Amino acid sequence: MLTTYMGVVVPSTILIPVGAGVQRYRHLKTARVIFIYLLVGGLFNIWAILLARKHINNLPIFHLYTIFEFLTITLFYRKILPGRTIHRILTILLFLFPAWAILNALFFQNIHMNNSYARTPEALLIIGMSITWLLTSEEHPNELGWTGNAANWINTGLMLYFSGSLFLFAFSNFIISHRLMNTYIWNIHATLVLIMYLLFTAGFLKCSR
Amino acid sequence: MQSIEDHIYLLVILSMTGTTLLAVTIILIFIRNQRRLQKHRRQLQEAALQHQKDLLHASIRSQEEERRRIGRDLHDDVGTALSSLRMAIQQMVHSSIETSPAISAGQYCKSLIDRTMTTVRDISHNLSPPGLELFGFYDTVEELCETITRSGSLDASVSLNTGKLPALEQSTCLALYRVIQELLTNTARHARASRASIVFASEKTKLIMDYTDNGIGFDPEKTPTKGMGMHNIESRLGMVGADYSITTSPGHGFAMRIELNI
Repeated sequence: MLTTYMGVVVPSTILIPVGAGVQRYRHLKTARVIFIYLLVGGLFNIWAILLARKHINNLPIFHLYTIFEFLTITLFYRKILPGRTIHRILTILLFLFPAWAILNALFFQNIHMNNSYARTPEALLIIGMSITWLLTSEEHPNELGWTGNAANWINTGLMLYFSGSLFLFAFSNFIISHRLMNTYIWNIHATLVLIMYLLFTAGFLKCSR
Repeated sequence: MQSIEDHIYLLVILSMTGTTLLAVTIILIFIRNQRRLQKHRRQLQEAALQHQKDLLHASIRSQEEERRRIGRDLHDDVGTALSSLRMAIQQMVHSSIETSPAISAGQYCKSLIDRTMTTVRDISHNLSPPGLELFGFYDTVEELCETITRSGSLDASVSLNTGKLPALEQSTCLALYRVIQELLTNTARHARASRASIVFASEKTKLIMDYTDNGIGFDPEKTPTKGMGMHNIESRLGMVGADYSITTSPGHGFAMRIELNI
């Protein structure tokens, strides 16, 4: 039951934001990169599930996925955040973080274990970006109010997911040993993913002319 | 060892819940602040808009006041002076010998004075229609239509689809009168129309005025900018709290419905 929830139910809910994204594709503009993140993320997920079914360690996929996730999300914030300095910092991070993730996979954390040294700073950096979005909110007022701005919904989804999962990413190699507790904790993670998907859906639906 | 591991799991779950709650709190505080900011911004905008409206209304009121004063001065001072001049010339003509050239000159002067008096009266009435106070709103509009029809530029008519027009405040009457004047002027100048009609009707708490002409009309999508005339109409209707709608298209005339709560 618990594995069905995190292994089938939640991954299938990706179809909700993807459906909304397809419907509003022409108006997505800055949110288009998040749509791509969902689509490719979904493919990574299917690949991981297939490997898990064949009892093959699927953790190497997550080393790749972390790089892809960071690149797409940083590109999204690079599009929506104002200011030349912020753009420069994000551009540097676009090169620096993948380099660190590759170094980590090669020299520090084996590709067959969780990449917590990469995932944790990734989460911290994304939380930093989402807080920057909140702090610069006065520079992007929306006539339709907070709810009318698609970026606010997507930012909320990312902030909730990465804040909630921060400690899970940090301790992922510790909790793996206790099967039941590990499942419980990854189910909480699945719920955070579901919330993020729903907030992305709301964001996509707010994208209009 | 087992108990320490359990504590780690518990701590991870608690930390995850804590950071999620922290994120939710930050977002909620941010939303609340942004709403407050938006509300404040909206209030400032509304205040600025209201100030603009008040300025416009004050300017219209002072314009009307000035028109009334000039109209009265023209009628009372210039009109009286012309009447006295006419009487003096008449007396001069009476006391002259019949064959004297002063008689024909006097007759010419009298006709000139008569014409000037008519012009002065028309200007004075146009500046401040005295009929509004003397005969009421409907009769004054009727007179305006008759004057325009007599001038030959347009066949203007007014009719009442209701027993009696509801009593309106003087300022409302004046605003509606100016709107009708503006509409008729627009029709005569730009619409190439032969006919314009004004129909009044009243519902329970509403006075409805339908203005139509059979002119060339226009495409509201392609003519979004408003001329001074339309701005005047809008301002005056806004002043008395009336709503309006326009129906027009190329080749199908122009219609305007004004609804005033009474």
